Amino acid sequence: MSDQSQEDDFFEQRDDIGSPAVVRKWQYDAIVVGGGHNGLVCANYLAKMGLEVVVVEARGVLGGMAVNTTQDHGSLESSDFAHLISGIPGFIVRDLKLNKFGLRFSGHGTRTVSIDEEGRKLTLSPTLEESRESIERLSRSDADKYSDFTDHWTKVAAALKRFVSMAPPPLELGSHTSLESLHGWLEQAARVSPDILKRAQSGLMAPVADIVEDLFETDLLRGTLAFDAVLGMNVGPRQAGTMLSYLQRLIQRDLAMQSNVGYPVGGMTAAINALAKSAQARNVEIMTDARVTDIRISDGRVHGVDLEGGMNLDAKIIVSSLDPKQTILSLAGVRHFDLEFIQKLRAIRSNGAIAKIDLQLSELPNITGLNPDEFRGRIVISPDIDYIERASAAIKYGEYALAPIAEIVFPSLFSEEAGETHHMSAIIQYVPYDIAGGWVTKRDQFEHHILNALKFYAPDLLNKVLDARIMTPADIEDEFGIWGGNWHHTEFSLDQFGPMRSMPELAQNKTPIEGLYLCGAGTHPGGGLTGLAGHNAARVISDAVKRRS
Amino acid sequence: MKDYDIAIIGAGHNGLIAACYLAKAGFSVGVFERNKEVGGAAVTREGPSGFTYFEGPHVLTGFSPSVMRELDLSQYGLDIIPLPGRTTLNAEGQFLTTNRDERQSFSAIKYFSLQDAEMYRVFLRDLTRQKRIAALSQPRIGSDQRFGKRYLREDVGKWLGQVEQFGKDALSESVRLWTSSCADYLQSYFQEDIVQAHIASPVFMGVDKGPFCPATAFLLLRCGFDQSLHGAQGFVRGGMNRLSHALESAAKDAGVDIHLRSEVIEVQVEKNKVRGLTLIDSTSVKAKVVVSSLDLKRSVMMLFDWKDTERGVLEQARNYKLEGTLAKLNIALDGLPKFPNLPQDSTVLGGLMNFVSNLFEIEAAYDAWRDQIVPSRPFLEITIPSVMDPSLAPTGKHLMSVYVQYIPTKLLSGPWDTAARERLATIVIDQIAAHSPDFTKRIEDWSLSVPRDFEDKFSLTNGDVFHGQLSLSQILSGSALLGSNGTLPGIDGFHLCSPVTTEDRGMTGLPGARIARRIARGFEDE
Ligand SMILES: Cc1cc2nc3c(=O)[nH]c(=O)nc-3n(C[C@H](O)[C@H](O)[C@H](O)COP(=O)(O)OP(=O)(O)OC[C@H]3O[C@@H](n4cnc5c(N)ncnc54)[C@H](O)[C@@H]3O)c2cc1C
Ligand SMILES: Cc1cc2nc3c(=O)[nH]c(=O)nc-3n(C[C@H](O)[C@H](O)[C@H](O)COP(=O)(O)OP(=O)(O)OC[C@H]3O[C@@H](n4cnc5c(N)ncnc54)[C@H](O)[C@@H]3O)c2cc1C
Repeated sequence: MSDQSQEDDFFEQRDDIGSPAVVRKWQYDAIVVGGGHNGLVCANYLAKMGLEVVVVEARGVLGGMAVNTTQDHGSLESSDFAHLISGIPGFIVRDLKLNKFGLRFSGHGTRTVSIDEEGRKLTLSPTLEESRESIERLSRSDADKYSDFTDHWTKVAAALKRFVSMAPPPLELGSHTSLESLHGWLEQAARVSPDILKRAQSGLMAPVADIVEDLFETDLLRGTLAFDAVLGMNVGPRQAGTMLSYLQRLIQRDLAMQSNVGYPVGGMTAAINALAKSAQARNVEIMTDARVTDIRISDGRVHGVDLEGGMNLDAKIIVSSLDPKQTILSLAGVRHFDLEFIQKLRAIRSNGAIAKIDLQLSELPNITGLNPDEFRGRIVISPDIDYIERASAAIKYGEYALAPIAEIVFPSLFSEEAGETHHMSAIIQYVPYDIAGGWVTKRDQFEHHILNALKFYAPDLLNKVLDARIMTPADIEDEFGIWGGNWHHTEFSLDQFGPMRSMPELAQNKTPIEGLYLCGAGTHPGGGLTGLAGHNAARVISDAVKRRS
Repeated sequence: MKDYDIAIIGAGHNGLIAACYLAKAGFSVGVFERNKEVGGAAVTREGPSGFTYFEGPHVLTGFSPSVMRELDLSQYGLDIIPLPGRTTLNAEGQFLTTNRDERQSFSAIKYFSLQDAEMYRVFLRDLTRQKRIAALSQPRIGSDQRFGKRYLREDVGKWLGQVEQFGKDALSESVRLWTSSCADYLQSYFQEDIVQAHIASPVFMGVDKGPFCPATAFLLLRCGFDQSLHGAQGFVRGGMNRLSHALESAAKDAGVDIHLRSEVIEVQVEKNKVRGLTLIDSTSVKAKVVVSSLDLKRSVMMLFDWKDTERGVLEQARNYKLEGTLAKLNIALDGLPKFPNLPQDSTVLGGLMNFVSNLFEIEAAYDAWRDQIVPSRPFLEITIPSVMDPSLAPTGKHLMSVYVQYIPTKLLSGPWDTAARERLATIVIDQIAAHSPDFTKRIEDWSLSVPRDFEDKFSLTNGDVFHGQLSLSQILSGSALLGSNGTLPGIDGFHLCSPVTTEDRGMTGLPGARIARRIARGFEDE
């Protein structure tokens, strides 16, 4: 275990991050596969325990899905969308002393401006007063209820946040360890007030539509709130599990704000840089352009990884931040697992449902009803519950939503070095991974359709497009090596949540193979930019290491 | 009007069953029914010249054998003809018939896939196990003040201990069943489309979700796929009215007064204690206990004046979801239609039939429903009850009864006028005729009810045949509002006996029987 005070003094920062590192050795205590934010958080904690750690990242840059830079597309770089929701919890920032590694926070979050087809708009802002004012223009009664709503669910979120920063209990009965850890959870539950638990219980299972329709009368408000619930999911707001997803978001926000730190200056790129620097300060080796092709296993335990190009690294602990399917089916190999396990693993739903579109624009477009000032927030198209639900139906049949929901941001407005051109980035939701007819043939049609759909809101958009790039779920899979290209790695849903994430046998960040752990978004508590999965995995590993010694 | 120990609102089968039990336990019981006849939604009526039309359900699903026995219903003429089987016919003309005989079902499935046939046994065993686990008395969170560390250790610990006896994986399998979509759950057992569709078919009649919706697998628990899961399943000889009349006679013999055309408009409450009823003609009826067979929403919102009491209850009830999805078509036929792809035997034609090829077809119909349009292929359950019970139609002729699922209560395009109804009937008739060349020309008459008709006729809110949708959150929130004896918070002496008090939602008779037993016990305790 490294000496705490010594670590505090260690501020020397290295600047070789992001370039292919020189390998200094072949043998480590732990190898972290994937340098996404969860991998980096996990590596930091492992190093803090005193382990020698190497992070191997396939791409040329760290940060995974959080920092979506592509090397081969120079004109549209740095499309990081971290100013949206970056929820690295205060306790991780403190544990890892990220502010000592350059992470700064500014106090305010992002505004959401939601628009509909008739030109109505609604602003939800981090400050309640501003939101109220905007809602009031649509409905006085909704404005009154909005503060109750946020108050109510923020309380529930605050009470439940204790459950996201630890691995869920195993559901397998009969072993006393499981009953022990179930009890551990129940004791945690006992600390939550019965009233909150009662609210949480029915709330967690409800469709978000039921909750917002019961309370509010304005379609646009209902649609906007539901948007946050379904973003990154595969189902619509009328389905069970969507309120859970909304709460998850509130929990993340609560955790991130718990020390009033605000949001990272410089977005997620800055957060990733700080994580990488703090890791290196703890002697973590970071290799980029290093793709793992094989996790070596024999006698039921891991021994190391093989990299593309023929290099091998050895370690007794391997932590994969990839999704469980990619980790086990592609890297570990099915032969090491029993048939039933593999069958269940294959049944995990992991297809993504979003596409990302990046546009390079000669200048900012006009968006009907919005003033340029509002371009600094996120712009949401999600006008009502039925609209979203209808959009969601398409992917069941392998089609994309003709009228999708979307989130639009202009990263160029935040960039330090303001250029001549502008960059618009949009997430388009309910786009199938497996499109009927295949993406090769449907791609152009899709791009054309989406641009025209956006044109409805930004009539002069098409004249200003210099360059466009679309990432379908299949492209996201290719780019990040995540099976299915899902935002949450595996679908975030009631049956793949908590102790079921992504299947009961994997929910404690462990696998049936000794020494092989999971730390990516496919483990509890799921996707998003929190590092919690990485943190939870490190805790599990720490327990295992302690038990052994 | 005379005073009663117990006044019952509604003379549906549950109301009547509760009345019988309570009268037999020695209470004076009055039943107050809005309609001019008993039976609630479980009724048949005279169709044209000698046909009997089923207004509501065409089969009994899981009618409790103990209720049957304890109320001596066979004495009163109730005769249940066991359901001979259930058949799914797909677009390619292949069919699959299963029935209670597991061996026969096995070989029918084997025709499509040996593996699926073997998994069918596993599936039945797993489901039986889950049914038993669901029947354990569960720790309830937040229903009362008992909560805290001790409660969690003791109640939850005890429950876990019981669950553990069902195997190491019992808990994770339960969680999977209660959270998965029906499609995922079935796909984890079966590969063939027709097998999946066949098993899902009885699950979704009346449900406001499709098989691909999250948290729909648990609905499988409702269905009797084999004997061990369920009570009597079958046709009531002579039509549903025979059940209602048997119950009516049993009730009268036990001394129950049944008041027809007596709509209740209010339950009188004084100091949180029930005092009696007010009828629509302002008659006041005194009673110590009131039992309501109306749905939860109706009971709370229409029967009480909540001014003084808790507003929260009213709000919860308002948010309680009832959705109509089911329409009903009766078709009078001048003879037995031919289905060239089906064997002409009574196991098939006299049983239930679904014309569906895969789960997507069911889901697509659901998607249309959600958009408030009539699906181009509604999901059907068809039966020709006159095959097993010739008394339902004139000699040589036949009655076909069709559930038409995923029919919206409100149409986006306008009212449910004659034109809309005729369009729907045509869609359904064409869908059936696609499998039966002589079907259309055999039709003598048809009669269609859409969900809103059920609200008018039977007071089923929104036409919801289940008295409240079966969603995970609703099961939790409904039970959070209702006490274990079907009571409402803050009101002493009021009990609900509608199907929402049990999770089966079938025509089991259990909601009425259970509440009655508990009320009787409550009086003894006092
Ligand atoms: C388009 C898009 C927009 C999003 N927007 C938001 C948002 O606004 N807010 C939010 O909270 N969340 C958002 N998300 C979700 C969020 O980005 C992810 O949930 C999160 O980044 C997952 O982090 P992770 O560390 O678990 O995995 P990842 O970030 O996926 O990291 C996995 C890493 O492993 C690497 N890798 C893959 N294969 C190999 C291999 N064989 N060898 C070595 N390395 C390998 C990958 O290159 C990657 O760097 C978005 C996701 C997408 C796709
Ligand atoms: C088309 C259709 C198909 C169905 N299919 C099935 C099926 O396949 N399987 C299944 O299990 N179930 C099915 N059902 C549902 C089943 O019919 C009901 O669950 C069952 O009838 C409920 O019985 P009940 O006694 O609880 O209530 P109900 O039968 O609804 O009885 C309630 C009674 O209360 C009366 N009432 C209402 N308001 C008042 C008032 N204010 N004062 C006095 N009286 C009042 C009503 O007139 C009615 O008689 C179906 C229903 C329909 C309509």
